[in-house]
Amino acid sequence: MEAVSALSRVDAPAELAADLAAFHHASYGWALECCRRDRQEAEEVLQACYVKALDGRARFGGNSALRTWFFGVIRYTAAERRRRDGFRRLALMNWFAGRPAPKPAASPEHLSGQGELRTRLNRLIVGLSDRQREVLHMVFYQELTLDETAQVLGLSIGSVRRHYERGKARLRLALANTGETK
Amino acid sequence: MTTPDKNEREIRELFSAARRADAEETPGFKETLRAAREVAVKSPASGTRRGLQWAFVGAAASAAVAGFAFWLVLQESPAPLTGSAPETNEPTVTADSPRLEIGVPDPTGMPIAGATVFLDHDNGQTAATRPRTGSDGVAVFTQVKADAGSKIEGSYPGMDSRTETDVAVPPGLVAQRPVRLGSEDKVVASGSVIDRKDTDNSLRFRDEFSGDLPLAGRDYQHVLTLAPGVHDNEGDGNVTVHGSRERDFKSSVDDLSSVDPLAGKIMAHVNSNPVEKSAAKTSGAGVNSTRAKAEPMAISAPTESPEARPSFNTEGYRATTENRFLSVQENPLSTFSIDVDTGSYSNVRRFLTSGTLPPRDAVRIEELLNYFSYDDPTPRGDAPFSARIEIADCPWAPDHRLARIGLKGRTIARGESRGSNLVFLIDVSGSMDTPDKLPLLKSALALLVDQLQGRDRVAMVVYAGASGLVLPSTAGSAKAEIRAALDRLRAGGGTNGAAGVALAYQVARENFIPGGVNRVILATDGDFNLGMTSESDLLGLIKKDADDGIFLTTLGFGTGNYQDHRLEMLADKGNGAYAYIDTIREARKVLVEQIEGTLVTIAKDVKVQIEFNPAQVGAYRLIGYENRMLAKEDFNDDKKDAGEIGAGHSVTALYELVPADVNSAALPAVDSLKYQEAPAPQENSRTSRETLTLKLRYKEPDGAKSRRLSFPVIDDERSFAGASTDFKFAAAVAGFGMLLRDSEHRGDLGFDDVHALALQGIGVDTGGYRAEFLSLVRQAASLQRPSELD
Repeated sequence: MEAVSALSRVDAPAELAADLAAFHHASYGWALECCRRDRQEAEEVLQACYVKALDGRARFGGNSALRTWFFGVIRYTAAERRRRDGFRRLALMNWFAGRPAPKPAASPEHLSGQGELRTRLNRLIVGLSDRQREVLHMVFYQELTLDETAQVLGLSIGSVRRHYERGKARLRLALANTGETK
Repeated sequence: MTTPDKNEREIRELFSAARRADAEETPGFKETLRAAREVAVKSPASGTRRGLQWAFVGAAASAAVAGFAFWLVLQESPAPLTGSAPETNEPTVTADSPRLEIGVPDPTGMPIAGATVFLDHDNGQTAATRPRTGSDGVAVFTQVKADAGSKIEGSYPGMDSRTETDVAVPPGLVAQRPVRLGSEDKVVASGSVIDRKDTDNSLRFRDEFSGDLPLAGRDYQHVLTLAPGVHDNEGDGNVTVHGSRERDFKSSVDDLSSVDPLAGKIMAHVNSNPVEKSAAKTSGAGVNSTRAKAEPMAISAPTESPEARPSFNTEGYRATTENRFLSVQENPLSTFSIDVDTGSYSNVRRFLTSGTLPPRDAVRIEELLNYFSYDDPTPRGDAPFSARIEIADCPWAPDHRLARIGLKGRTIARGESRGSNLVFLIDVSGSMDTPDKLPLLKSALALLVDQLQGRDRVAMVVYAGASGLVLPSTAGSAKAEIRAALDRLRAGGGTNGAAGVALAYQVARENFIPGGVNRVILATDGDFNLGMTSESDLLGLIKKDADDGIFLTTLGFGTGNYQDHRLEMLADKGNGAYAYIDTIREARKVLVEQIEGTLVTIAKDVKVQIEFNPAQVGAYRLIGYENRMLAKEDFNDDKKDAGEIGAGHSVTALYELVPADVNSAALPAVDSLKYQEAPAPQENSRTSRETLTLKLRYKEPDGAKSRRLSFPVIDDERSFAGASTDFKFAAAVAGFGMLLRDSEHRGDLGFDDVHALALQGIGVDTGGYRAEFLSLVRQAASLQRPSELD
């Protein structure tokens, strides 16, 4: 019954839905990053975030841009989900003999130039810490400022700058190591 | 800031290519929204979950009323039990008994490791086995009787047990069923409002009860008297407990005891400050009495100002100051003694499962780390132990590196030893007369007795008002005799610990086995007065016998007046280990699974010294080991005592390193010297890629001269993600300790992060100890909540 009442409210804030639709691509990209590029998980997280936003469980206070606020919701939802599901999946899955734990969806082989570059990037950033990856994603992929990045990630501007500089340095190093061989 | 160079442009291009590639594959907005709505219909509360296809079978409606849910999943057993299955749709009926798997999740659905499960059949017969859940939260009954009306019960300390009746156990099948435990009955009140959302099992509380809950403005005695059977006639905070003699008990509200910590007398007045916020629960006992046991509420009342809650607790912990960051230039050497004690971990677990955060000084991080066994390589050749170092990113300080040093002791087969001469020294004073002390102690020592062999010898000395030999040294094969002596133990009288210690050592000397294990095992709550002997005389006696080859192991029991630091110190002087036994499961770990390590010492006076390369490391901090630090000169001084390592023991130490090129706020700047030059690094420090050199010194168990080992270590620039599972888990444990100690170095680390780290480091987890750690982290996180209420 609860679900139904939640649903009826989904249609009401049409304006909010339109605003969210405007940066849907960016949201999906960020969800992907938060879910370690597991596409199915990213889709589910994004769905859950839309439900939260539209039925009013996550409320936009108007203190920041809608986009930074919603990115925060995505980050929180993905982290929460990882925490809840990680253990359950690990432990309870073993219980059901013969039902293996789901593997993260392998990213499909795309032969387009963009897809190749993306694969290359994903390989290069393996050595970065989670925070460094998140900050670089915010700055280069989403083209947010360091201030906005700090808002989304809930960090101080000082730490964001530090993660940014160190992440970039590591990425440069990785580029230098593999740059010519490609 | 940096000018955009060629590399930065390349980075930008890579990211925007990734963005375009993702955009092509993004599912449409409308499509996503539609999927979101479908998900909302299916499962309104928990969002999305895939993979678990549990059949939801009947009886759920009545179960839901009681506040929990269960599922029953039947599947054919993976391997057919016997014969060939007849080709019908009927379940296979064979002579073999079915298997019953019971999953025990906590209220949030997380599996609990170490929960007990009981099974009663419909004829009233109780299954002989009482399995515990493993790391996957599942307990297995094999060979059970098939019937239709079994009863199963799951229980775990600190949680509400749950019973399920009319469980059908079909023949020839594997039946799987989760029993979800309830949380403790908990009422959370803030201001004048009871938080119904955070209040569990509200059905149990009557409205009148809710009206009486501790609210803002009430004080100590009002809070205390909410417990059933407790009255405060004079209104001075000194309550009476129904059925007990006056002053036979101590009361405590949120660590605030009615006993004066200096005089040991009951105080006339207790805390007059009103309780501002409080959380009360009906489980657990806040009043301890030696004569009568009341079951009142344990009440925690966090107050804002520190002076409002002096630590009037009769449990004894010695304050430790956390190691600071030291500059490599001024302190290039870091020296400490190893420590294999684990007592702090089980003591912390006891606090958390009983619903309070442990006092800061009860948390010794090195003991938390060493509680767990790690998958370090076993030593080859003659060396008694192996060493391994791993360096990777530090999870709580992204600019820093974390180094894990792991030592692993050689294992020894039971047959190799020349027999053990054990003397149990057992505290039977009046203070031991609670279920978590003497009765637990008896079952724990019985586990040890079960493993004795013919060559082994056991004697038993008790001490109370007087001390005496209750069992002369007896062959390990005479198990019935030893068990009978254990059974006869009764608690009562005062405590004259020192006389008992002297007698136990005398018995051990008389039965000395050259080349074998000679050990006194002291089991106590540690609350003994020393008779006519001073503490230093006692320590001198223990130290002298340790030099003669008789070592000491201390096993701590109980709560309320527990003396943690004293037991640790005794074991330290006696060349032995200290363990805290809070449950029979812990007894099994210390006295069965790790019996060799507990009894057989393979190297003594093991010291660690690390020299850092100033060109690579700017500053360092040793995490934990505060009371094991040695001066740099002590390393080569064989007269200086240090820790022992037992067979199969793991020792782990973590250093937080600040790389030389990082300007860290962790290290305050010091003015440069006016009268002398600062020591300059040698030329080779720059050319060497070595980060540090690990040096070890140890003696053979009966040797007097030490040997030295040395290993140079190079940082291979590992990220945290690339580190081993043991590294990740150790980092999580250290982080947990830092949070519980409220360390200034914790950064923005939270219990959530610790949980995530530990999850990455769970590995194979034999015995389920790491899974148990995860549940402690969750418990600690939930205990934070009341103080965060506003």
